[in-house]
Amino acid sequence: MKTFFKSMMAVLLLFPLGLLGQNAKQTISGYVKDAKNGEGLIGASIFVKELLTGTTTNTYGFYSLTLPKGDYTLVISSVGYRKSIKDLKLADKPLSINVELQEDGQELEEVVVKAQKEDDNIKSLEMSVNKVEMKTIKKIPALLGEVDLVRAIQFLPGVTTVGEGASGFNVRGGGVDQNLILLDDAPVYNSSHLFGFFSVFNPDAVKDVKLIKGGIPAQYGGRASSILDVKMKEGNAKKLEINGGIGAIFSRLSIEAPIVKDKASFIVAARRSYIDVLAKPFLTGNNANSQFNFYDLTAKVNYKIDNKNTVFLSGYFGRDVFGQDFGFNWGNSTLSARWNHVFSDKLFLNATAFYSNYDYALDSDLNNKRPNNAFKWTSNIENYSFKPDFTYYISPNNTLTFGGQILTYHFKPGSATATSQGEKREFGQERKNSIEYSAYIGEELKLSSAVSMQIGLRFSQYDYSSQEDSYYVRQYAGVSAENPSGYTLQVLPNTQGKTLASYNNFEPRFALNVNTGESSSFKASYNRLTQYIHLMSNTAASTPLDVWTSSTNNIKPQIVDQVALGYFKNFNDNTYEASAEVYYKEMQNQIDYADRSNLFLNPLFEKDLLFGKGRAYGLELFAKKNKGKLTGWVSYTLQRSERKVEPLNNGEWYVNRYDRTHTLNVIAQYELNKKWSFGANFAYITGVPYTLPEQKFEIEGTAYPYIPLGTRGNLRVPAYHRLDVSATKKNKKALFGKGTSEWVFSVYNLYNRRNPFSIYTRPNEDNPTQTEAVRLSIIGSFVPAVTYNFTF
Amino acid sequence: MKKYIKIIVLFLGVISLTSCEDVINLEDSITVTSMLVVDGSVTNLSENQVIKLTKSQNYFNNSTIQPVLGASVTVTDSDGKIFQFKDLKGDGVYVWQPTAQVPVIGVVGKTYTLKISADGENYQAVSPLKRVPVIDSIAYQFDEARVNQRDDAKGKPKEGYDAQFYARDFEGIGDCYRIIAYKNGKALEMNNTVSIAYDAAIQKSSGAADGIVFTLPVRSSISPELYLEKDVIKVELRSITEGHYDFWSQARQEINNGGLFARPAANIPTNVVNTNANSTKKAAGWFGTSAVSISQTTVDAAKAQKGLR
Repeated sequence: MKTFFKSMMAVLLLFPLGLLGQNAKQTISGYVKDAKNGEGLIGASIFVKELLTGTTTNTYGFYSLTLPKGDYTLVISSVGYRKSIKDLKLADKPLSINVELQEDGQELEEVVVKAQKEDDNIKSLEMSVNKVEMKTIKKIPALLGEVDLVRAIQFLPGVTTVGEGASGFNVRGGGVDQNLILLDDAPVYNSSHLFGFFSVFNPDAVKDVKLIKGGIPAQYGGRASSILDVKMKEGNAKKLEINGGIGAIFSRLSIEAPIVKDKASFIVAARRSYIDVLAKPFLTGNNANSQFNFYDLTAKVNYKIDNKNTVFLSGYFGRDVFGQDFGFNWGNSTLSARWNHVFSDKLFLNATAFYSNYDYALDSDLNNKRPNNAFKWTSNIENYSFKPDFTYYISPNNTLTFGGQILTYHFKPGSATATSQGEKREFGQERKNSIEYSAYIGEELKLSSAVSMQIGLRFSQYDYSSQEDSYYVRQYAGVSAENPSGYTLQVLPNTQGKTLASYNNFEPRFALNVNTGESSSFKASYNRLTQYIHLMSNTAASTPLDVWTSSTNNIKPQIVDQVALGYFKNFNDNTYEASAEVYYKEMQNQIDYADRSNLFLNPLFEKDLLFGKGRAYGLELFAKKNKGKLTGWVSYTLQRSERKVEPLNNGEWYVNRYDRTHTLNVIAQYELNKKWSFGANFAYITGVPYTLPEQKFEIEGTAYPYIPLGTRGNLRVPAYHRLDVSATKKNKKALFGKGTSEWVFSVYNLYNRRNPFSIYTRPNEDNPTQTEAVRLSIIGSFVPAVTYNFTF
Repeated sequence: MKKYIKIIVLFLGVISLTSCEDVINLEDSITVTSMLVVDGSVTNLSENQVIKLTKSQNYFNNSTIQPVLGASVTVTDSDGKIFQFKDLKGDGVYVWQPTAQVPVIGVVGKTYTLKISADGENYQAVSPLKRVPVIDSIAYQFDEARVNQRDDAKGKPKEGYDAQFYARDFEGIGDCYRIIAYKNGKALEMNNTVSIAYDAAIQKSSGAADGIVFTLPVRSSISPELYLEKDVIKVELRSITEGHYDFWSQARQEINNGGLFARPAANIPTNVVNTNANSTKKAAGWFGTSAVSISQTTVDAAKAQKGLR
């Protein structure tokens, strides 16, 4: 702790705060909201006509502008809304101006509102950031018609996966565990239902999604690759709204309503799969009691106490349940409470306290039929955290953000009880506790009309302790046939709760924007990110059983440095935006696994780990059409992601499974008229690397493969490509003559391609001395679906 | 655990998705020098002891594996006693036959060294012979076949007797076993797997399963398919070394390594080494040593139990 505070002081002193000498100026502040439902508008623009300067609203719709006294005209605008103009006189008192913007309406021929916000991609410091509106995500043709946030972001440049049905996603050559997935500021550890087929986010409850791949601001930390920031809706503050849908997999229902009009509102959204309900009549005998379903519940309330204070409480609870006699379930839960406080018109606070939990359980005796011969296994990771974030709006040209976080981790990586003939044994991995402290400061400066920059520094400290009476120290003993990792573990006595390892890291952040004309800019960024927790996963796609583990005295934190350069240009009055970015990343302390590693319930799993370094680099091209009947984007990514971990691959570099050389994505959405709209996606992705055995040998009449050393991933599975289409028919009325509704018809994998997930070899089933290669397709045909959505 | 996951995946596959596997044609990219492959064990039973020597070949070459002929094969115990193995039929199957004077090779506690001279190279494998507990009993109950016991194409019974064997692991971490079940004298195929145990469990568990009665998944591994009335169930419980356990564990892994949760390919370990460390000629396979416990019963409806599984 001591070093932590010392370092924090150092961080604070590095920055000239410039808090003084603002007498001749005065502040305007307030919230910008959606007039229809009272939701705060994120990133809305407040433009001062007279000074040709302005600002944008933060995540809560709050803005603050400090200007010299005088008369001004403010133009408040946001994409998809009618602009609002306010004339005001800024004199001796600070002004509070709240604005509600009307939605642009559905008229297609509508005169396009010229809003400052439209060229935000050029003007802002953000690079390597993709924001996707829920409106767009909802129109993307989806697998089985289920609108899916995580699948949608896989169409963005720099995002790949290890294959169809795989859980999570990979950003710029990073692992699936290197993405910080935040749901209202609380981390979500497993973003998938049904392995990786559907994501845990209910589209009816999500307001805004932002993926940050580079130039990550100092306020974010804890993961090495990216931030997926998902903000939940606050709930309609004007009137009761009910949304729902019936699809092939899920049924959804969400209710939002004001509690006190314009002051307090809530949203509750629930989904449940019903394959099991449909399949029930077909299951007989031993399978009759089978359960397989997944569901999630999302809820949020907010209360605007007064103009200076708003509180939010949001929660998520989701679970996948499978089993008959044998049961397996997993799920996330998060709870976050937030307080927005405006101190002095210029100083904004968002204080968040959250709880997050991911757990799973397996039980061989679900129905308690044979308690004397059972196996039960549970695992979880739990977080508690408090995190104040301040924004200080010094002037339109200078914004300071600072804050900190205390984050506690409680790891119960796996504890099992096995009972055989009434004799009970308990075993598993050691329970661990950790605390991550961090403090950050960032300053956004407009140096001239053309140059702006953001400098930031984050300091993080991580203290690890074991909750057991012993701990392990890794020692190198030499690689041998019996010991493929080459390490042994020495067991030492431990005092519970004693700090066994402590790490601290400075993480500098930097971003620069140079406007090279009215509609183009050049951007550059650098960031260092530190990650203290790691997902132990040695399979092609990560499984729900994979365990998050702490950095320990043996496992060092992952550190990633990234440099990115980009050129951004808009055309035709911001109708088209285009960007080209290149990046290079270096990763330290990357984890891989020795042959025959056993990561589950094995207290000695640290012996099986191998540490090395990684590198990733790439080019991302992105072009987007924002306006008109036809909208959408084209993105192309050229990338490489490799690692070097001794003794794997003879100590040479090898490609990660998520190394996909070329990725081309096209998203197109067309609004024919008020009734019909259409969507199409196309994806082309280089196949994943794989390894073929060289020889085979026969033991007891079965052929086994022999893989020569030094050939990890020497071959590529054929390329993946797929076209999906959808048609949406809007109805004026929903089921009971109220509200509106729509039918969504979609076909996933339209041209019925058997896209390979992998190629592997096996002995022939009927004659195991014969060997064959098999191409596996996870989704091997076209998948049509119909979904009905309604809104009251 | 993988078994359970597979069952779940199977469920989901059948019901919700359209995953499919296609056998495709791939060619070997290069021709490699073949290795000597050792497949054999010595036991404490008084019966023929067999060590089969073959050559490895290119992975997609589906012609019959070539035997290694004309090799000299001996097993030497830790007292220096040498047992000669002879290729009786000229097919690469080297056999030692018990005699009245020397009825067995294997004795618990002794270490055995296999020596092979073939094609101008000398190979060696060393393996201690470990203890094995007695099988207390075999029990069975009448039931429907589980998903993994069903195979209509191979005519496996849809209902019948699901059997388990009972034995207790020794105190002390690291006893490893292999279980082989016979139905009417014929070893039951296990579809790309073998039944092995580490202490009393199917997986290594750092002592948690030490010294208890074999856990349910081990006990019921003698029923990869159901038995019928009057079938003779014979169970062999063989001690193996930890290295041999790792060998089987990895071998199983490598031939069942497809799908969403496949692991990076890794080599199956071997205990056979070329005595000339500089030679490029390598060996694969395993020379095992086992003490064997045997139990046998004939299925009798009257003796069937309930609530076993």
